[in-house]
Amino acid sequence: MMGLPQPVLLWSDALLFMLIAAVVALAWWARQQEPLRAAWAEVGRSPVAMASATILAVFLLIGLLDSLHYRARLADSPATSAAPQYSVEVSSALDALLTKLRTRSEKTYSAPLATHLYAKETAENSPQRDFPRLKYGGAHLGEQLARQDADIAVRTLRGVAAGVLCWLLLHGLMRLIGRPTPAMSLTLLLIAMLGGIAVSLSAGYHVFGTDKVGQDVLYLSLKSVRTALLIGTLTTLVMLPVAVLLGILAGYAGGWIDDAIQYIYTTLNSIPGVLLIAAAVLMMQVVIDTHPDWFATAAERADARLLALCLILGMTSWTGVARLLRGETLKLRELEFVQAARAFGVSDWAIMRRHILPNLMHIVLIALVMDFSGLVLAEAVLSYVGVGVDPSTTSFGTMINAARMELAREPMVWWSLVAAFGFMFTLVLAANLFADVVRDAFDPRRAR
Amino acid sequence: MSVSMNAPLLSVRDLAVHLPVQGGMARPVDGVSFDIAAGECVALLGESGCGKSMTALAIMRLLPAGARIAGGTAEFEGRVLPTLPEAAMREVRGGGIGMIFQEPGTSLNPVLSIGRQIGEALELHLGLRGETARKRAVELLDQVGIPDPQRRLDEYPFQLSGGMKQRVMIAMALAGQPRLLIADEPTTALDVTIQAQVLDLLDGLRRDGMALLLITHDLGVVARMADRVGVMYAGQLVESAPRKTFFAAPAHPYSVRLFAAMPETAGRGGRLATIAGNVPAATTLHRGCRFVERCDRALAACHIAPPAWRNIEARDSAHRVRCAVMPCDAAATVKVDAQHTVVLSAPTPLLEVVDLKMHFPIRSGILQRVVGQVRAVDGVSLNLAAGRTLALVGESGCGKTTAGKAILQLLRPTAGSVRLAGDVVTGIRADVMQMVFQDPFASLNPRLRIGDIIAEGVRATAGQRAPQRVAQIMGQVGLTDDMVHRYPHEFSGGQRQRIAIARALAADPCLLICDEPTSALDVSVQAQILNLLSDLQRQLGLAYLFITHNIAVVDHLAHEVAVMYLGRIVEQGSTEAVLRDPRHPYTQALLAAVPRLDGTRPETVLAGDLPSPANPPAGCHFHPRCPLASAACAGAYPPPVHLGDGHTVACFAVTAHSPR
Amino acid sequence: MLAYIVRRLLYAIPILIGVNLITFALFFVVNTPDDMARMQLGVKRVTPEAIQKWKAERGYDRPLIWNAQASGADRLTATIFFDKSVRMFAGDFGRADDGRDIAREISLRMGPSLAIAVPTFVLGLLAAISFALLLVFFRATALDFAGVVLCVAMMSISGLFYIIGGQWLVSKMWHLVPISGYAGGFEGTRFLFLPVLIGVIGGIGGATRWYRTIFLEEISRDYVRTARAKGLAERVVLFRHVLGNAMIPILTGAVVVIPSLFMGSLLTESFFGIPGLGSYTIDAINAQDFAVVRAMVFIGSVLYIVGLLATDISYTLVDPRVRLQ
Repeated sequence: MMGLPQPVLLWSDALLFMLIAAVVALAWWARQQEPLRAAWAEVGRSPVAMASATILAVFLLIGLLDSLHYRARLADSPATSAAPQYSVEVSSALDALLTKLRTRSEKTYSAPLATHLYAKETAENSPQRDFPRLKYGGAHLGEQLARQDADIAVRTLRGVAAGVLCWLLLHGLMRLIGRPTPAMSLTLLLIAMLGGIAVSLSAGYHVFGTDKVGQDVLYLSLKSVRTALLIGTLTTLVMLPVAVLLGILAGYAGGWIDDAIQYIYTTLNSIPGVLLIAAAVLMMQVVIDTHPDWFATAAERADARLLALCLILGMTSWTGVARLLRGETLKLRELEFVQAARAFGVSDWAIMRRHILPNLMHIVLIALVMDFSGLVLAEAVLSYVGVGVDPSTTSFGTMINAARMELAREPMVWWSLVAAFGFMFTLVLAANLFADVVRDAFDPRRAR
Repeated sequence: MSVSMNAPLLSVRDLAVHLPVQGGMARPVDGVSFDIAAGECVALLGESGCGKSMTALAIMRLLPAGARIAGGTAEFEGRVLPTLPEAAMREVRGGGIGMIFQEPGTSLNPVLSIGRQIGEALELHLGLRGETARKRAVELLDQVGIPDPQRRLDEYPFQLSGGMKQRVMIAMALAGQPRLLIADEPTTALDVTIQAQVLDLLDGLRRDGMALLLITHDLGVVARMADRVGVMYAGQLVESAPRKTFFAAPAHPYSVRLFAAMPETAGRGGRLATIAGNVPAATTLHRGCRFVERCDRALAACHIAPPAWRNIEARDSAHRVRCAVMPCDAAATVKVDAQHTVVLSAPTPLLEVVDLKMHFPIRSGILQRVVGQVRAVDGVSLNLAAGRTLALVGESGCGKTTAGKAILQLLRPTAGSVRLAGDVVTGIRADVMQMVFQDPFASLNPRLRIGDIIAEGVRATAGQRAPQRVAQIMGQVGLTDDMVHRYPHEFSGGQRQRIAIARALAADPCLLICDEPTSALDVSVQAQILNLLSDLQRQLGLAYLFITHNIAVVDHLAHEVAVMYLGRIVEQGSTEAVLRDPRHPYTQALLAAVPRLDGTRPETVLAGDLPSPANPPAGCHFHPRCPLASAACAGAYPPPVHLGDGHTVACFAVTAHSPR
Repeated sequence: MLAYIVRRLLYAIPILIGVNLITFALFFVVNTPDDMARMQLGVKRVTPEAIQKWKAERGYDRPLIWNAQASGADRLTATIFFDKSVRMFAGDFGRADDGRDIAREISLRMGPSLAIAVPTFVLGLLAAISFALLLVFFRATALDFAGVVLCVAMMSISGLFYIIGGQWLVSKMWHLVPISGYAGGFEGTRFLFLPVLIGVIGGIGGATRWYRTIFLEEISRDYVRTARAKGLAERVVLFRHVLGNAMIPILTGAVVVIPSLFMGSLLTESFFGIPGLGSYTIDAINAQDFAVVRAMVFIGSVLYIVGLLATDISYTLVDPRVRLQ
């Protein structure tokens, strides 16, 4: 009998949860603020924004499930023992949900929905080289391979039906809480149907095929979501305090403080971004490699590298936001309400906090959502260059990087690439569309 | 094209403009009809948001994105403009009808030279190119009174002053030889002496046969320029009359109240008539008269159906009014309780400013060394007693706002001293001095509730009693308690200015520095704020340092006046002395330049622009523009001459005994 | 104006020094040369002698910034800081791990980088501005909407996809041009076609949308209304008035990257086997050749600063307010 698992809180998990808490708190604060509420209401009226938000919410759900980490209690350790033994492998709630996908590994490449491997092999008891059957993919068909098409069709239909059923249930639940817009409902229906099909098919097949070591590509794609979300959000999060503080300080204080801050960000800006990141990542790698004792598990080490990447990306990208905030602060500083506050003898810090910062929040929000998609795309490029996430971390970048090696193969192994690009495109497109609407709603200059 | 002599040049009939907005359809123009004959000047008069600019843009088919002509027509020289093909419409624009706008600063293309911008209109409408075009452009610039036009052609807009830019705009509009010029608030952004120059120019064009559609909110400009007047309210014309008739006896209750709200018409220190409420939003659907909610003479019928046009004189259709209350003797009904508040001057001054200077360094060159000083304020001395109002008057750029901020210590003065009740002020004294700013939209933090905005002032002094104090102050300025939880954007300009005044009062000061507090407001709202300020002065014994360019407002509420020119005070004394018997040539010119309601024109218009305070003329700063200048004026700055009763003038041409 | 340019030039000096200090700190202070040697040699099979040898080969066996053992000026010059950082100002970048002179390698590889980067930049800029003007001309119509949606969709596609997909489609399926490779002279154009095309397509979505925003902002200004009130056709308004003013923000973004074109593109060059500086950099990163990475960081910064300067000067061409003051 399995005992209770030991929960593991990686640093990135903690930061992600903190971020979510902060977003919830901000949302609650924004509800009190009439102008902000009006802007969000405008976002809510946009069908594009609501459809994108629904897609993003599904991605976020996947990412969150993948952030509930634990170490399973080893089966052979006695449940009553004072010091139970735990697996060195850190798993997540998502892993637990997808246990079948995770464990049903084939030997090597197989095409989507295939029943045979992609490469010929010499079978043990026959001299001929042939495509061997997969261990799991289509195994339930037995010898009746002709039934495959019909089987897939039936499973697809069943998946659609289950999806619609799920959607009805979910939709009913949502109506109890609030009023989902038509755009949300439709998007959700679409996602539910696709999800239904995927679940239904993956019970018997590898929907997106398998990769070089036989891992299910669908599983890898879902695991990549968390990495993409972390890089897209934590990067901006770590840079924001620095950017906001320095930007406002430079704009408000002026004089030598302004000169110094401008000097810092011009200098940082003048180093080509990729090279600075590359150099910093290489150096960080040396630090991590020379201190193996810092990390208890491989997951922790990979997590440290991921966080360091976010930090480095953040440190190189805060300059843009800081410059923007400085410019805006310069304008605000001359506004009469700031002068009025000074006429009351309100301290400079209080003016920055009460009068400047709240009037800059829309820029911060716009920066947050606009940067997200760029960072998700950047991760893929950096991983390709070799300065991205730890090779053991599943990400769109590592997936593409691995698949790239096989491009020259005839016939081509295309499914890993297509899956990674497809998932990434969906995520980035949804984020871009959402960001557009948010910017239009919050930017006072674009007020219509 | 031959047009019969009697047909009007432009004939607008039932013009309507619709603009879809959040939650409905705005109708900024809702059935406007008027005619303009060749060579005639018609003024459309109205407060902001009444649809007068929109009417002009609709005639030109230059409506902003989304807005469209929803009905009616405009016929120009026989061409029906709303249905004209775009190519033909482009010939009308510039070729038939020229247009100039309110903001000359932003209405010229910053990266093209003046010559290029005039040249493209010449090429388009007259087919002139090259040397002939250049010659014509020089003539045009000369015609609008720009000195040294050859050189100006190669300059860019940023090298010209505001008045010059507006002249260039006019030259550009004239390039296509139009028969009608639409001028949308052409002088609102200009100083009063420059305004007089531009109005003279427009008047000259009209005498040469150009028809003029003048859009303005300024009764003085209408009196000076118009042949006929149309008063607009909430998207409609409500009164139409020849100028003389209109100014002698306005008929619509709205027009009547507009006159009564002018500071010129009320006696000094008296109360101004106000118009309750605000102009209805453009999305409102009206059943009855559009003015009914604000009209004190409304009948039951006014609520039910829109009033029809009626002639004031049965046989004379020149003066017509859209009002059911007839005969309209509204003029007699505006009652103003004229209570003069003559506060005798207190013995000790509350505020003493001695030789205040505020210089800003000009940096230049590779190492950004200081190569000069902008002498924004250059030796200003003032005295203000408790409970009194001192007006600091001058044109833009004369340093009056900077002087106010330096007195408040928002800017650290370069030299000079400021004393409050005898104590030297060296830092911000929130509990004694407060400021009310010009722009009611920029002076309130949009992210704070009204209660928090006012409490910020209370906290500076009162501490714990904040909530009660906030409620008390809001009552004092005519705001209700339930407003504390609302945000600034929910309020109109006038209410926002009340909030700003409440915030300033919260710290319980004895001196308020008011920096053009009413210049961004419509005249009826201005009246409310001026009334409030005089009430507060009477109740709380406040002293006001009132910074303004508006002579009428000065005349209405100031006890003393100081006139500033280029960082220095050229004349100061009691309002009576300075405004009735101005001695400095600049003060005289400034007063003469103000358009009067009786339509009389100034005998002399001050030439030239305000020089830069970075490089003021040697000697008396005013001598290059001064009609009385002599050789001595360029040599040294004139010392003040005391004329008695505190009336001092800094001018060589004035001696203590010289008769006016 | 001359004073303005000279001032901008002087301003570049402290920035270059700052860049130099940052790279020095990053490469020599965060990790000591010993750490790096251990890493490169393999953490387990490392001996003190091997480390010493590794350091001596690269000149990392000197003190960081102060040589107490030396005398006179050598105290300052016989250090890693002087050797590796200060000498960069004189164009001396030292040798790569394979023993080749970095400066010479850079001068050889600049040509191929420019052959790809310049056409990509010029064509991309022209295409994006043209499309943006087209969308603005048809603003608030279905065409504009479709164009913006297309731009956002194209922005959302990874750059890697454009390269991989382009190579597959154009070279592998259609056999139009070689899949990768490089040759000098006219012969080389067939190698350039695909990388340039992909570079242009990959960047066009974001650029078009950005320029469209700039144009729309300009078009709402008062002077545009004045131009229309003159009777000018929409086409003339757009090209003469709006484009002229929009050039100011467009230049800010475009001119600053021109000098950096020398650096080439990491992805394009590595996928297409172009022997330029981009692939040089990426190979150095993969081989952890710190000397080359350091040299590229320095050169990149110099080029960026030159770009800033070029931007300032280009303002004087398009903006009379800067030119005449």
